Amino acid sequence: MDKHKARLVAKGYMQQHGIDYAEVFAPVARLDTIQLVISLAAQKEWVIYQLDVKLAFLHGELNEEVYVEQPPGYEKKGREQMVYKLKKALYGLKQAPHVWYS
Amino acid sequence: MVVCLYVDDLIFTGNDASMFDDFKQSMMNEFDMTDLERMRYFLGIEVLQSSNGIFVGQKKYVETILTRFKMDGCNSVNNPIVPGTKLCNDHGGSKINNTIYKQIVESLMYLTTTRPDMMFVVSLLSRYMECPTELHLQAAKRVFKYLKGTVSFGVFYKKGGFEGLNVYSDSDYAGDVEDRKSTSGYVFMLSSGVVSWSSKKQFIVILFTTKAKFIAVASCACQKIKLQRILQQLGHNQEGSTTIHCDNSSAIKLCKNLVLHGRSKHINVRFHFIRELTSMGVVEVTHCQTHNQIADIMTKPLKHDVFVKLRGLMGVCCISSINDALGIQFN
Repeated sequence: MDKHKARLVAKGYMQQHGIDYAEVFAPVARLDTIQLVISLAAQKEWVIYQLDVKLAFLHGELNEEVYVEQPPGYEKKGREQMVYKLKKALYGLKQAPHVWYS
Repeated sequence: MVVCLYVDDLIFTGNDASMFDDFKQSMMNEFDMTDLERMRYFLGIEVLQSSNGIFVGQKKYVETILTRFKMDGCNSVNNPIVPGTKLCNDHGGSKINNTIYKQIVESLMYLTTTRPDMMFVVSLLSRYMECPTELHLQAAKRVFKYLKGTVSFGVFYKKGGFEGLNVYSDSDYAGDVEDRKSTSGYVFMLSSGVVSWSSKKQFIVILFTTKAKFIAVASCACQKIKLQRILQQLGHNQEGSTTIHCDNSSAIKLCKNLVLHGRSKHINVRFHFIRELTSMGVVEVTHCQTHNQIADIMTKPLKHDVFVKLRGLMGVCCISSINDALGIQFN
């Protein structure tokens, strides 16, 4: 075993349109574009390099007010009834891909 | 320098190596990044770069789905579908679990990203997802048997070569035995490798072969314009018009000739788009012999020798054959 992995995921299916999120559209490159770039690179003998953003979705700044419950097992003592207000996106949120793009 | 972004994965290439480091550094300052160096594995596609060209394939994925559907022990066959096969709804046949069938089709769909040779059969299978029977499952099993024999196949893009886009467009005629719609297909070649392909049942019933081919050319022209724009943005301008190869001379005449004949009047106006493009000189539709028509592979089940020939023309080959032919070793 190399490492342990855990990820806090929001219950995006509980979100209501208009309240917790508005825009969810996020553009991605189409596969034929990627294929075109690869073949162009091959033709011109370019080398293709690759980078990957770590925990990309956590970088997105939220535009809406979104609250999450405290994760089970990690509640703050004496404040079990309180919730967290999110500043940045979490995995699972409907708008996570959208805010990552913008 | 060209950068392609897919959510959190990005690839970049270009002719100026000094820009790479600047770009990488500025990205690193902004985000916490993983530097994966040379592209090897992107969106489930394996990429192998050598001085002779670039090979893309999905060997690992093929192995995974063969195991997943318990077909890893099967015997291999030479083509994904028996030549001349016509699938139909098969109302009387014994029904099978459509969840599993859908899973099979979905897994095969992803495979078509580096396997244009499978495009036709996968889109054929996907038409029967609603109510699959034993007949369709048998057809799907044959696809797996074909995969078994072609696990390490993929597309090889050679370095250098012919610069412009080369487009092939074809269609069958009334190939679907139930609604009698035709299937159109196209293949886009950039130098020796295929960059875009499609196999799609047409959405209207056509009365003549000419029109089926004409519609195929028209839909192909839309895609052509899109790819042309991307190429332009990448600084790869093409002089003159792109050639669309079609093997039906009446369809070609229909593209060039602005006279409406009594028999072609009912073709929807939208298809006359292609006429405008030809008159403006954006595309040129030329005739090609049926046996050189690469797009044939997207429209019907072919005989083994034709299938293998067209597959080769698209640049689809086995990785070991490149190694032998060029004396290089991908690793």
